[in-house]
Amino acid sequence: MTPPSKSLSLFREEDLQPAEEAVYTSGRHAKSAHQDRPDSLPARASSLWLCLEFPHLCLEIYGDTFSARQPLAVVEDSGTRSRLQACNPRATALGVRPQMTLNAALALAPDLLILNRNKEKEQQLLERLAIWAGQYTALVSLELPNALLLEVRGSLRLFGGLRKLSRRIRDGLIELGYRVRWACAPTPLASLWLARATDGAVISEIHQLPGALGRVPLACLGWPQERLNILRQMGVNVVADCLRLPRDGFARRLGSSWLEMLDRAMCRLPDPRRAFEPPVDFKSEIQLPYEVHETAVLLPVLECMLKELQGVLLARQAGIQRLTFCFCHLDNPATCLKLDLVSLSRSAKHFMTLLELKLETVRLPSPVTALRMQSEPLRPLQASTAGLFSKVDPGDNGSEMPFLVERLRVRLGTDAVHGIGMIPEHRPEAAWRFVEPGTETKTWYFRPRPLWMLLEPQRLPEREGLPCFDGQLILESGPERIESGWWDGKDVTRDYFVARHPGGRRFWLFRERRGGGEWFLHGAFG
Amino acid sequence: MKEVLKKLLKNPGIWRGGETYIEQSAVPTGYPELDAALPARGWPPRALTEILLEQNGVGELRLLMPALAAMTRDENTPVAWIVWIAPPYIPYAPALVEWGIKLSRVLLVHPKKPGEGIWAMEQALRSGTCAAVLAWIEHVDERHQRRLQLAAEEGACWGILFRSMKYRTQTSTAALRMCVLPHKDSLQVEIIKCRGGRPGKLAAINHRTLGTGVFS
Repeated sequence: MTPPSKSLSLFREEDLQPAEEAVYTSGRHAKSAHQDRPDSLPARASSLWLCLEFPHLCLEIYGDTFSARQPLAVVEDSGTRSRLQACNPRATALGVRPQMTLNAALALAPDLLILNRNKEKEQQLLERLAIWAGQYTALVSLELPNALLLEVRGSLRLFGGLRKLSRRIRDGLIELGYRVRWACAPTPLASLWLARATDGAVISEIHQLPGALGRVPLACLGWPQERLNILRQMGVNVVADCLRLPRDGFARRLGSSWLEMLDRAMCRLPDPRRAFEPPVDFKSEIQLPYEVHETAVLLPVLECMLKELQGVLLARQAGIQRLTFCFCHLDNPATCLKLDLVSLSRSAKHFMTLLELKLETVRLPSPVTALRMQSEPLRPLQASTAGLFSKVDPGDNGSEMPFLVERLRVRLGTDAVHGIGMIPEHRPEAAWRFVEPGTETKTWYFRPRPLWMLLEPQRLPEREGLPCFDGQLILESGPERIESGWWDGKDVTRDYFVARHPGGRRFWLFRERRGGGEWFLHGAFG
Repeated sequence: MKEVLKKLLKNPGIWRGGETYIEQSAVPTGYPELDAALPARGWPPRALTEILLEQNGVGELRLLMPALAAMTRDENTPVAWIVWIAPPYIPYAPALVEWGIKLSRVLLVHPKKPGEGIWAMEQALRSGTCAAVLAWIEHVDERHQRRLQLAAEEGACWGILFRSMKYRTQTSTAALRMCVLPHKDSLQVEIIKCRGGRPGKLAAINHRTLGTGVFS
């Protein structure tokens, strides 16, 4: 049996050479392409994919478990045995490893905290991260179970190059508390495989693909175990070995879908990806790995949730005005806190300040087991431009006064802070109303009117035909007759006077024209 | 020698008894009698003013109105709010408009618990977005007053504290303290303390000049 000739091999030998060489050879062989092989490589990649892989996603749905002092592990039931999917560094230090059976792990670390794998929550978290990543590119695609694919070619110029962009994304994720592996490549699959094999690998041109992917172990491809076993028995361990195999034999033995996958990774077949479509509102939930008594411990977790929210709002060019937090307890109904903002905002710092104020006024009835955050539907908010000379908080919408109103409202209650407005009405008690702070109302006035008004007119006793209040009052001017309001049943017929107190104070009072003609105090010229 | 002396006299810590210190940015009160009694010829705009009253409604608001109206209309400060904390009655909107106050710049705060009034006042003073903060708070100890005074300086805001006459003898860090007493035809203002001037001056403002439209 002769060794497989070049024409039969899956890919050309040159493809496996270092990049520079491949450029020169590909042109020479282009015309002699074989019928069973898809079109030869395009000269330049039109897209660039950044893959973000979250190796510890199943742990991270439980919040920041990495710095926890307790050894933690996530377990998945597979048939009869429970196997560990992931564990935190504390557990690793005790000798616990992923893929161990539960019994073995417990033998090594008796106080290991076992958490169940929750694939649904993992997908929700991945979707939230996809929304967050939307601030860097328009095309984010989910790669279940634990990776995101970002098409970043169009974003490079805006964010100052791939190096800056990737660092920004990575640092942002680390700040949010996620462990991430990443890689860049012209095809989505290549970037995914590279991220699993070499964290931080960057391949920007298609001709570099075979060389870079060739070194990737087959275990990083995420293929089913039995397929990998077949290949291993054939002595095929890395992608390069795979590419040397004859195409038809490879398809026959392993299935054509895997061949297609290789072709897609090598950019020989198109690999369109569906962009993730974000929902209209934002929800987030963190299951705490243990019960928390102190609000101070919750604050960093809440801050992470809010930063994530800010990223999402930035990505969607949206803002929110209402935000609900639920603190779930084991034995009590959840404590819910509502944040009401005066105007749309997207600043995590802003939300956090208000939330801290709110938390000061609340006592949690029992320890907290989970945190839930739910926003109202996102509403479009015009982006603010960053200052030319100063660094502006990206979420800040620049207006200070609503912030004061919010601070006061959060601490004192929404009904304790008002603006004041006017209503075109003759009846003095109906001529004003509380309004939202800052609301413009049409002004309308008569003279004279007092600066202080009583909420309810106060009845005054009468002596010698004149009203008394702390002494007999002297009428200075009037009457001003007000007769109005027959349409709503609160009609008035009154004569208003300005009266002087012997001590020098001025009051505004009226005499009821119906009934016994009683006197009432209605205001003071404060 | 004279140069050295001049330099020395520029030190803000030195105050010579014979001269009155005039703050450039004082806000005219709108009443010449009162302006004459105040060393800065107006309200101190970035400090705490304390007004002591026997009763509410003697004319204390009318004293402030011209200055407040000027502040809300000032074009240089686009957002100049006037915050009312725990007012004893309702500030009546039509009368405020009549005095020239922009209603959309008025914020009313009604705290429910005793300590919240001072907290709210400090927040408003410090925010830097308010032109004036009027508060009716009875129990303000010296420590709180100092905090309020600092907040007013920091936020460049005029803080006005209305309190009962019984606190007259209490020490205070306010830049200006005055008693306001109504008389038959006039409003008596007695300056108890003022920064950069001598206390004890009296001003009588005729009710006719106080306005309100009573005599119109």
